[in-house]
Amino acid sequence: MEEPGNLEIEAKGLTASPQDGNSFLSGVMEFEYGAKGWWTTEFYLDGQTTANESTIFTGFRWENRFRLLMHEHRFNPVAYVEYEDLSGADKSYLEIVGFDSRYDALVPNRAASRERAHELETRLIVSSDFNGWNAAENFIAEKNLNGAPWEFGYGLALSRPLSLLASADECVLCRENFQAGLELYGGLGTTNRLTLHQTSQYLAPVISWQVRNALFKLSPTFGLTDASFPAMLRFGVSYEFAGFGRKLRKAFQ
Amino acid sequence: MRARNFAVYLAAFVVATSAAMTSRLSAQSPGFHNAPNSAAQMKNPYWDNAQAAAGGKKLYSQNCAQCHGNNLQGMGPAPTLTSESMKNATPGDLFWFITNGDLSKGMPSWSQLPKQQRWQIVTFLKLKNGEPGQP
Repeated sequence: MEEPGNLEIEAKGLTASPQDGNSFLSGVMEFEYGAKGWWTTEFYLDGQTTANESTIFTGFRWENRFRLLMHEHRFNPVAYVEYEDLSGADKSYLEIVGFDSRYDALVPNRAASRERAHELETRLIVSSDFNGWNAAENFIAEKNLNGAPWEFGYGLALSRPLSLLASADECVLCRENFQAGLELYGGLGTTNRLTLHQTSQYLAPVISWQVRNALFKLSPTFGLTDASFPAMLRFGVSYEFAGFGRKLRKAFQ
Repeated sequence: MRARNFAVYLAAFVVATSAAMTSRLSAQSPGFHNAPNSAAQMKNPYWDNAQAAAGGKKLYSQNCAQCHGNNLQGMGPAPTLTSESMKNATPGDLFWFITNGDLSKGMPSWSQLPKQQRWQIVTFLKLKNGEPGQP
């Protein structure tokens, strides 16, 4: 969750070279605002470029996260609701649901762009902190509003700062500024067929580095099934504008 | 059908978890920002550690100063952190409040910070309130 009044802007990227297909690079600009202590709202703009094809804007998403309990507990649930208006050519793979597979990326941009998906994505995120570790579990249910069945997915993540104590001095490369983790995520089929069979599954170590208000993330991602890309590289950089809401209100007073 | 069963199990899990947590909340008694009595019993592991307090100062600058001000003076709806209630709060109360926040009033939860760092912030706040020796 974003702190109230803060705005975080993040550029996320993903690149892969599918077998029998063209290499691609997808990019997502994410604007995340802490509306309340219990409510964070985000707006995304998606695009991608595919070698030997084209560079295109693929659509937008609007997401809201609601913290369900007002105090900290061993397990802290967050409800997540997102509306997506994306073309079939979107390759950002922010979530994997249903039978999403590497074969989807073989459809040329020109043909894939003709398909338009209006989707509702919901998640139950449960996170817990213990001994410096953060564990987060996502259950994803996504519905194409044009009538396709619900698609399901999941994500599991475990991460920890390299040092739990903050050093006394300002530092850039000290261990407390680095966080290492591991993610496992993939599809779980649809309402018609809840299964792991023929789904994409990924395992991804993640390293992040905080430098003042900026955060850099790098995650080599490895496919575990035939339907998965064998390897992808995910990366991102975000910057947090503290007190953005307060400054904006002041500017208009 | 299997998907429907799964949704029912999931809903039951959420309801049961919420009910269990609500019952825990009802065990709280009013203290510093409604901190439970057990919070006051927690001991600050860094109460006499100048290095930890210096780290707490840095963490305060990074995470808290944007709302509470560089000198703990408070800004807008974020209160001063040198008030009488701050002076009277135990380190455990402060730790509990930093961990839980007061989401309806704009104070976020800082549970994503390791507990060692939350105690470092408590150490710094207590030091600034003239109580360096309080465990």
